[in-house]
Amino acid sequence: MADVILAVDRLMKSFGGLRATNDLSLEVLRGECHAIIGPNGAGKTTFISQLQGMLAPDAGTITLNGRDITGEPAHRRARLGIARSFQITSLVPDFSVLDHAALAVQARLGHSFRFWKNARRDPALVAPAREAVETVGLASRENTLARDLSHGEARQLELAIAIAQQPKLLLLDEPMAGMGRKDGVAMTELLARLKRDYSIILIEHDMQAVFSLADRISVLVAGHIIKTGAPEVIRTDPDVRAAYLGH
Amino acid sequence: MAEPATNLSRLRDVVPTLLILAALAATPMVALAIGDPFIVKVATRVVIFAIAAVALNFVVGYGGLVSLCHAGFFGIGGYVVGILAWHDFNAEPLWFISGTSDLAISLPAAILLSAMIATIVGAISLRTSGPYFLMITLAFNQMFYYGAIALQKYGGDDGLQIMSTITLGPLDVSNRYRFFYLALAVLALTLLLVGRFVDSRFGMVLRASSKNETRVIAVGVDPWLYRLAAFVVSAVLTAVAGALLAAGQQFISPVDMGWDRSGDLVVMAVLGGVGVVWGPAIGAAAFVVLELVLSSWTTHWQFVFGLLIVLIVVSLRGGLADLAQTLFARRSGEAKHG
Repeated sequence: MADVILAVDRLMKSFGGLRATNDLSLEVLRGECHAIIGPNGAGKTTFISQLQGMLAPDAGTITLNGRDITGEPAHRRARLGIARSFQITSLVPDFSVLDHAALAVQARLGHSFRFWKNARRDPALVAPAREAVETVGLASRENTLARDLSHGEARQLELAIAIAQQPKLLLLDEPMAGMGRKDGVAMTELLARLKRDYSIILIEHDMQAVFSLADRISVLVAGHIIKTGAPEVIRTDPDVRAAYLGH
Repeated sequence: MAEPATNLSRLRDVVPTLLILAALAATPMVALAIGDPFIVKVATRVVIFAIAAVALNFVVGYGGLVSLCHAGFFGIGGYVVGILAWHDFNAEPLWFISGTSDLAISLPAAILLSAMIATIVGAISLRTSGPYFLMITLAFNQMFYYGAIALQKYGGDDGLQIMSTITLGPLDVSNRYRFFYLALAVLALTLLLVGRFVDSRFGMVLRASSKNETRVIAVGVDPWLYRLAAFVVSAVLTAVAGALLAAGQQFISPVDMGWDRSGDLVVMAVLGGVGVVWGPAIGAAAFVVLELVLSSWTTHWQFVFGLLIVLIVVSLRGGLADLAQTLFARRSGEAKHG
């Protein structure tokens, strides 16, 4: 059996009468970039939120590295190695780029009940934070406050925070959302570099990016995965074309 | 952060803090020079409320938690000093311990008791947020307030007069000038502590949580325990301020812990500026002095006072600290050009 980092088994989540996640099962292999595509409203972000722990599923299990994490709260899952970049940028407006990455580093290094030493002058935080910021190409903006970043830069910062966590699994929720063509190409290149080091679940609407980055693609329709396979298989699958690609 | 930013933070925090402490330290000399000891009394009041306002701002400005029960902690500190002194004066043991008028014992006692109460109050209140947090802390404040009124043995409604001489170890601090410098030393310590805390790892978590809790949880930190710790630290420092008030004026009463006093502390913080550690100290000074000056002019001083506060808060979004920084920046800018 292949090396599975994340196993999702028969996950269910309803909002009132709406089944946002409906009997969803999925396996993500270590080191792969697994894209999840599907029409708007298919339940992609709901699914990611359950993986991260912000939403509790009604039924089903989530297993990370063989450990059942279904009942773990979000902050503990982060410590176990799940990092999420948000579809709608989620930053601290008056924190600088470097502050954000440093916060992720200090969270990874253990508890933050340290009251005396200035965190911004602590090399144990600043050095790894700077590395993450450089990786995403924001080095020249490290002292810029989040509120002053462009949309594209904020998306890059989302990624820098996730990397600074040194996660085992990256959950990327539309990292290119709202990006222009040029920024989008740069982001695709960046993701191509990252996929060498991380296991990734990628949600993205930009099909060009998905087909170039993904090792495998799962197609999510109405909360259920109708197909998982290599990009070339998915591209030509008649069910997928009917349900999603639409041509 | 890079070096220029470090220098900037020195200019932003250290220089104003030292200026405030120096200005306060000079007031007794001014009082002596013009022969008006009342000034020292006012300055002592400024310093004590500055401690409380700076302490409160640790949770309000940096934790995003507007607490309305800090007057309660202020009063708890005051009553610990007052009640221990009462037992000392009446030579009647309090359960199994004897009373004391020594701040070296009653201050740690105030710290211990307020820490325990704040842990319980915080653990309950922090299950809520926003307006609910405001309301539940207000409810706790009223519990403390009516609790103090119920202390019939210690004066109840009328408050508790301290009849014994307050000391600090072997030092008699009933001397007005000596007491002022004691209070000033506590303010300096408070500014140092809060100043270090907000820039530490702890402070970064606290600040980030106040602006974006989701982000903090996503990187692997549960903000709850950090907020509780900040709440306890803030409550303890406020209790120390209350203890000093009781010791300084030899009197503590339920009036010192009404919910309106909690509101006053929030106003001091906002008036001075919640974005910098020293801001609320300026706010406390402005509040105490304005209250005094305006109330000597007119009985309707609260109307004028309210108008002034609205004016300041609307025109200076960072409070008086903003004004100070703008003036300072302009000056140093001119100096550079000249």
